[in-house]
Amino acid sequence: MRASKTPRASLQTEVTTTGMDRISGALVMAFALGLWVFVIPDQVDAADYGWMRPRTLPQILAVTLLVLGALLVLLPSRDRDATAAGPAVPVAIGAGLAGGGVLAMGLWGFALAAPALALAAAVFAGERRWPWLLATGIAVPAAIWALVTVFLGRPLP
Amino acid sequence: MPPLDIILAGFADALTLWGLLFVIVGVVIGQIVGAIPGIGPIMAMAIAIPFTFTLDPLFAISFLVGINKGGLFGAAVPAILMNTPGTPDAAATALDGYPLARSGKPYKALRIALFSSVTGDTASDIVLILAAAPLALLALQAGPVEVLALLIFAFAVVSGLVGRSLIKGLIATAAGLLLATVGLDPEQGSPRFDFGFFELYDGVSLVAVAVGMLAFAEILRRLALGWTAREVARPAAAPQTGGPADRRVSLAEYLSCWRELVRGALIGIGVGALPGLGSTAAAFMSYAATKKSDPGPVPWGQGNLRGIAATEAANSAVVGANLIPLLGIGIPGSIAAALLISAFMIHGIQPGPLLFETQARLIYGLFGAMLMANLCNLIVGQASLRLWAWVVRAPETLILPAALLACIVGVYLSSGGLFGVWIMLMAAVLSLVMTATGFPVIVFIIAFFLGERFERSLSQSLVILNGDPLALRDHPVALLLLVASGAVAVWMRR
Repeated sequence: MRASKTPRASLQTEVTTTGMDRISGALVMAFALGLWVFVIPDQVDAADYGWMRPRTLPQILAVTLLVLGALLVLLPSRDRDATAAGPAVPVAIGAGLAGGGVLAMGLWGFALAAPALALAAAVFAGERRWPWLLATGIAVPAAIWALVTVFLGRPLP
Repeated sequence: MPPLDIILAGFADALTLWGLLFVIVGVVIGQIVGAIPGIGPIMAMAIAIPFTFTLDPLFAISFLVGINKGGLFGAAVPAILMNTPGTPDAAATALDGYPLARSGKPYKALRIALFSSVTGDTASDIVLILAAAPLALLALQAGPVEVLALLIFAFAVVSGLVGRSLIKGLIATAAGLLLATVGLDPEQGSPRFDFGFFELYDGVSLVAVAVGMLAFAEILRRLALGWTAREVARPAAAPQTGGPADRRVSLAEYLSCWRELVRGALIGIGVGALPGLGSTAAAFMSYAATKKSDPGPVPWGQGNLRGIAATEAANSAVVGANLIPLLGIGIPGSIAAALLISAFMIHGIQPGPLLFETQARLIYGLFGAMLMANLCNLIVGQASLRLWAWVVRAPETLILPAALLACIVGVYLSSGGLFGVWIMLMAAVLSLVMTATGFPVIVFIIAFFLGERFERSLSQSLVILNGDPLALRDHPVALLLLVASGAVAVWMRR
């Protein structure tokens, strides 16, 4: 695919990619610093005996991340496919939909929330045919409910 | 080696009616999900793991192995029929498979793919059975310092081989190890990174992370693609137009591929035994090696049976060999092996060389189930070729919501509440961010799975060495592995 681009476009892509890697590296560094300065002191007990204290490995890893983040800023890679994770906004909407579904399951239970979530997911994926929507909204949650509660004998939310 | 009676008892455990049933169900599910482009056996294994919680460990693991094995052949179905590989592993199969199908012989192409897949897989399983126990015996001689050095070596290799940047691979490794430190500190029992949630005292759930990063993230991505495209255009499957001879693969035709089968199996086994490389690399390496030979009457890339045999034998031979480092030294060589680790762990079994001492019967039961799964793969594949040709057209709009609910319910069951489901959602988002920014998810997961063992080995090593790095001179194997790790990192830097 890259071969079909003009040299100018290829250069632009490369510059953008290395720029993104530098930003990623800087964010990793910021995360590592935050971990060292704020999170580890707050979330991990200090102990002053033994070779391996609770903070030893987290601190080693924080330093490692700091160094590697700096290396990524200095030596960015030239190959990255930002589209590999799918279109950002629809993926975020999908994640929000799933999160809403899980929240609803906690509030109203599987029996009410699962059909709505399955139906919403099918509509979100582009399905518009009523028989398929009905199958997704009713048959799929019913089959999962039967599998879990009847066959496996386990409760659902 | 365990005593012969234990080995035979293990095989006998697998060769029961229930054992056969779980293997068949696994193979059928694997072939179906493999045949549906974009789903694949890894997602199916990740979703299925929590549901195996209530099963006998042998049946649970046999079922998952069946999915993995069935999925590798299943992925060849859309690759051959529609030039759309079910998983990247089958991409090389499409090079000769699709042209053969287009010439009116799709069933011949599917059959040679099936026979080659089973041949490569069986060869790989035999090597696994012969190699894993001696390797485990060797691994048991190693002390904590050597184990720590081996883990560092494995991280260096995996970080270098997977993904396009060694630095990003190492960052993913460090992040995976960091996530594994959540929970009670193994030395002093004090909580770390619990943020006030008592559910995190036991650490972050392996299953929630695996399902979130491998299955849920992919479901969200495909749902979003469906939303963007509105209607996904699927090419029609190539129809069978040839006569009966064009449906079958004769013994002479199968035997004419023996060089490709042997070469493919050897490449697949070699690649599978190394952590980090996968079936896709093996298939393309085997195809590239085969292309150097004389193609005969049909040129390469235009429907040559030997081309299909080379790729399918290689990608399937990776499956068994992937378990050599897992069972021998406790290091997963691939995502499928990492998922099997979580399956072992939810049944309270710690993978590694000790398995051959403490769970020998289970391990030989697993070997028996693997050989049985190959036979089932052959029989189910032969019987269902027409059915899978129909399955490749299954609508994602039905499958994805079902998979989404199965992920939520599966993680809810395994973690015993919705907290694990929220962890799964966060893991999925992290996986998508990592994929978009080019950080290898597989490396992160392998490091996370090995994190606890890494910390334990580090702790024991510090005590043994008394904190003095120069004491490593008394551990030449560990020193060699550490030097090799540095050399690998320099060699693979990108």
